[in-house]
Amino acid sequence: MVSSKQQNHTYLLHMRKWMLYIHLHAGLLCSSYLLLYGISALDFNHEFISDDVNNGTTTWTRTLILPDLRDDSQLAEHVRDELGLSGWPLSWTISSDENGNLRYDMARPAIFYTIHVTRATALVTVEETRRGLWHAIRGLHGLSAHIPGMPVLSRMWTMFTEITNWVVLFSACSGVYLWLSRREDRLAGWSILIGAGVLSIGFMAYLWLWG
Amino acid sequence: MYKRIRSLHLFTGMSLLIFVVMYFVTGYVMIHRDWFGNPDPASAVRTETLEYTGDETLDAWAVYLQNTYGLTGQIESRRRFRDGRMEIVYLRPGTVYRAEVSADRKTVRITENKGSWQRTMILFHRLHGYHGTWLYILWAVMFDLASISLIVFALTGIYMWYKLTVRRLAGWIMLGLSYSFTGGYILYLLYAP
Repeated sequence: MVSSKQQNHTYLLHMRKWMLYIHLHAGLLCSSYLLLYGISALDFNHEFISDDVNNGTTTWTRTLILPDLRDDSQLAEHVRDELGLSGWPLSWTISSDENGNLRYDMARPAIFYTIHVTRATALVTVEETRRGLWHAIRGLHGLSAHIPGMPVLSRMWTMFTEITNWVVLFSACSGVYLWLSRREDRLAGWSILIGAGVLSIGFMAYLWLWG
Repeated sequence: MYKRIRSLHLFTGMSLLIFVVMYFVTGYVMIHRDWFGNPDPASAVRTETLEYTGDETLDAWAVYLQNTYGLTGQIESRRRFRDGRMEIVYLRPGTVYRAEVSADRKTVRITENKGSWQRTMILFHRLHGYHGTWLYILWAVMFDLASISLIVFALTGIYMWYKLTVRRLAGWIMLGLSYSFTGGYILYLLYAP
């Protein structure tokens, strides 16, 4: 006859085993995101990736059939879609002259565009600047919106962001459980957790109230 | 070696747990603004008379205004307009001060924006950089430690998985998916039109 204490012990062992399994494998799935997140966050604090990095600029032209749109922002988006480009037209850069010729900048991780639209000839001139690897890494930090003009498949990055968020929260909870369920280091674990927790929350509260 | 790596993983995790979790929770509010709502802040405006005789630099003005009018927070931006006015923005979680100095340097208009909990969380997430008072320098240090800890978790986690498990197929699949997806996405961004 198996006592309830033994049953409980077996249950806890199973739970610990599965929690460790999920902790490890979910962590592996998100490890590339964590690396990217860590590196890009360091850049936000130290700004070692220049905004103006230029890995090559190319200029090309194309003639389009322009619709009769009065709104410059709508025209900017239309031109982007017709050219098969992707990115956000930067609203504060959009300007047009008395002939309706449009000029605007457009950006997305790794690429920056300056676009001129000449109404009379329907000629579009695109100046395309490649920003390179580090710019792409920084741009992916928390990228949660679909990049306009990109295929639907590119939305998968937002799913990856979502998954990583939940995995980190799960890993934090399961990590604490896994450590504190071990006899060795339990006291040290509790001490660090409570000590660092109180200091961290206290620091945040101080900054919020009096910072 | 394994014990050392495990200790690094565990002790880093425990000591920076709150900070790392805070970044992911506030980041979640940031990326889902439409879910959580983003109410306008409550604003209060006051105008003060200036008696400043120091340097004309933006930095000197920023420090003077902060100390004189109790505009606590990290200096987020400073700029001078063509007509001679200056604007300095101070940022702290929950509160944003915007100080606009008149062109004749006789008055300053201070706008205090008290944000909702959503904005407060977003400001916690956005606070960075080694400038401001010692509080903000300390915050920047914690920011760095939390960032480094993510890299440490990722690398030590892979090592520990490799050492802990015998059947590694599922792990290799997860690892392959993770790095091929991220690498592929970066390549796509680099080379797609």
